[in-house]
Amino acid sequence: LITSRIVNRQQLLAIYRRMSLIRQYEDYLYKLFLQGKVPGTLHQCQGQEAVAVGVCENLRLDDVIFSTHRPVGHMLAKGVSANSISAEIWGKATGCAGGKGGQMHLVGASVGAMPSNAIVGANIPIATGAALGFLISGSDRVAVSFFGDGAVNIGAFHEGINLAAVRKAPVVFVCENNLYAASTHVSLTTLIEDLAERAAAYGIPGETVDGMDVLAVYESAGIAIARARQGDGPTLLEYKTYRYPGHSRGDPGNYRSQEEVAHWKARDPIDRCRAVLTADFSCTTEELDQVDDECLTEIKQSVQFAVESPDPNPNEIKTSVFKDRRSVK
Amino acid sequence: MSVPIIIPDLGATGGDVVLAEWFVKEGDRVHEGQPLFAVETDKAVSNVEAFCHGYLEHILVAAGETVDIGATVATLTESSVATEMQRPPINAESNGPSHLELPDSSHSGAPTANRLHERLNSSTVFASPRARRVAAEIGVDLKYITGSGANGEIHERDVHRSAEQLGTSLAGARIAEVPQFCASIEIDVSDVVDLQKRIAETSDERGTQAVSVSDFILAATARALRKVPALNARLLGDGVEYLEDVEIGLAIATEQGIRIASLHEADRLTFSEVVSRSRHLIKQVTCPGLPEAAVSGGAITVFNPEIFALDQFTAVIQPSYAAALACGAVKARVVPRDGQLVIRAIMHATLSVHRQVDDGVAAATFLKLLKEQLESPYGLLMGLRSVLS
Repeated sequence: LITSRIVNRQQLLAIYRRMSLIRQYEDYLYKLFLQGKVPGTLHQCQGQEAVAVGVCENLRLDDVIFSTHRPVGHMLAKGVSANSISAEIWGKATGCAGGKGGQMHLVGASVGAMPSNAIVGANIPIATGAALGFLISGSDRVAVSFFGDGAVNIGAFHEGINLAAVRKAPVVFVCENNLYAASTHVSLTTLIEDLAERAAAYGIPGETVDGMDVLAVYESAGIAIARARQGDGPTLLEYKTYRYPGHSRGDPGNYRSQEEVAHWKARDPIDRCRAVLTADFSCTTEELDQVDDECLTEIKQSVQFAVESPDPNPNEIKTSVFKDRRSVK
Repeated sequence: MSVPIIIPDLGATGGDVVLAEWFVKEGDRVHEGQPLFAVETDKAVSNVEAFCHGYLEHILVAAGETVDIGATVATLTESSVATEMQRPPINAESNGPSHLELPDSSHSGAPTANRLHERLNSSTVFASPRARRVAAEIGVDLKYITGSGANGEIHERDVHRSAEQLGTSLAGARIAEVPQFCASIEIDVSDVVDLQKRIAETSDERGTQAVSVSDFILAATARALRKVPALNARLLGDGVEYLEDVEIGLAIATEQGIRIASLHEADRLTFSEVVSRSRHLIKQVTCPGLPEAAVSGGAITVFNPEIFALDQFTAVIQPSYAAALACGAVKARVVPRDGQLVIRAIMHATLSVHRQVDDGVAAATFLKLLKEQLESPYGLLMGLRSVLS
């Protein structure tokens, strides 16, 4: 079997569970949003699950990721608990950022999920900095920067990748090309078809991969992460993917044709993963449905946990916001 | 049991949220993810989808009404109203509405929809947010406007066109708010009258069209406007848009009131084209059944109701126009000329100008140019096009 060369049954089931958790989490939040029960905004990632999960399944707990304004998938993939994410979205004291961050500013430092940064492209040089830190301290940890196609023409993209390249920093740059920077199609801002071609400009390897195929993502990210860990420097990975919903709440996505959306949904990464599990690893539909059900239960419990959690203490409004001066050396 | 369908917080930056259209009716079976209705915010028109399966029980807010975020606009039941007793709940185990019940943490007490926009309440109207705002400002009912956009969507230009067709009566609400000033000038149109007579004499023989003083005024206005670009503008919202071509609104008296028809690219027309186009416009506006005259917001409207024999008057500025020129009737007056009293054909022209486009200099320049053109009208017979080339 071709797939068994990449993953075993247990690994692929774990990958499926993560993707199912992300998809159902986003879908459930959207339903609650339609009922007016979600405070604040939503930037959802349905359709892009394979990238987050395929990359993060290759990472160790002490490796770090840097995410974006669309962080839920990355956070769940890196192991941040649904409870702490839900509580953060509901602005509760038990949230992963103490209720101060909201949907765009999720974090799970103990599992290597650095605070997500909603500024487009801003995390690229930060990830390079973290990787240089690992290099200097002699650690074999790896940093991953997630960003979208909208980030590739931001100045920080050039600065961050170039510095990482010349210093052989252990970082992997993951471009989730979902074709749209908010509502702007990538062809309106970038003339090259494959954004990974940019890697040549920095003298590093670049690869364009089907981001709707979690096995292809897993394999390509595994190679890039191993390279980084071995001291061979950064890689620019471009995953062609698609976000099913609009950019954020209230974005009807009318700039896309129904045919285009249908084209991408026909390549759904979760459906494809299910197909591989049943065809190559003899998983039954019941077995996979059970995984889905377990994920949904976890999600519902997390929202219940969030709703029932206490509000932040107003006296702690400055806590974790500014570094304590006395601790600065 | 029934669950409320609400207006979700779509991230509008302010202003009204309007329930634009219902895609389902009471009693319809709806599926999770199915679009139920469209909401128009200041940002976009978005479809709101059903968050669960069920049957649409009651629609509480009609299309076209302004709604608050969080307002309940409909209710959904698990079973069809008609067969409520027999039918089992839809997907009672996993997807029933009751499974999504949570303490309402973000909205305390959903407000009911208010009915500010009563005039929009009976039928669905597709219109851009900007068109709706302009229509509300001018006081034009969107129901009576034919949209030129995709699927008949109403754009701002359609609102202006409609406002012009409806004439001054509807524009009245806005006129009171237009900060404007007026400037007047006396024009000796004896040569125009003389020229007009001579053309009339030859037209009988050659079968060409008779011309009126209005035709000379239109031609002179086009030229003067070309030389005073500050006035060749129209007002869009709070801003001023300067036009490339000279568009003149021709005010035409009809039984229903004043109608405005647009003379496009008036500065590019020869004099005979001005004559034939304006005749055509008058025919289109005054004879029902003919295709509607092409109208759009221009820079200046010209009023010249010769039949009323007014000495001089002030014209109201039409919505989106920068100025209005009011020409009184041509009358024989005794005037001093070269130390002698002579009888000349005199007309008074009064220009009303929107304060936003001019502080007075442009208006004065325009009237001076208009006077020069009309007092020596022979150049007008040459098209501006030929003058430029």
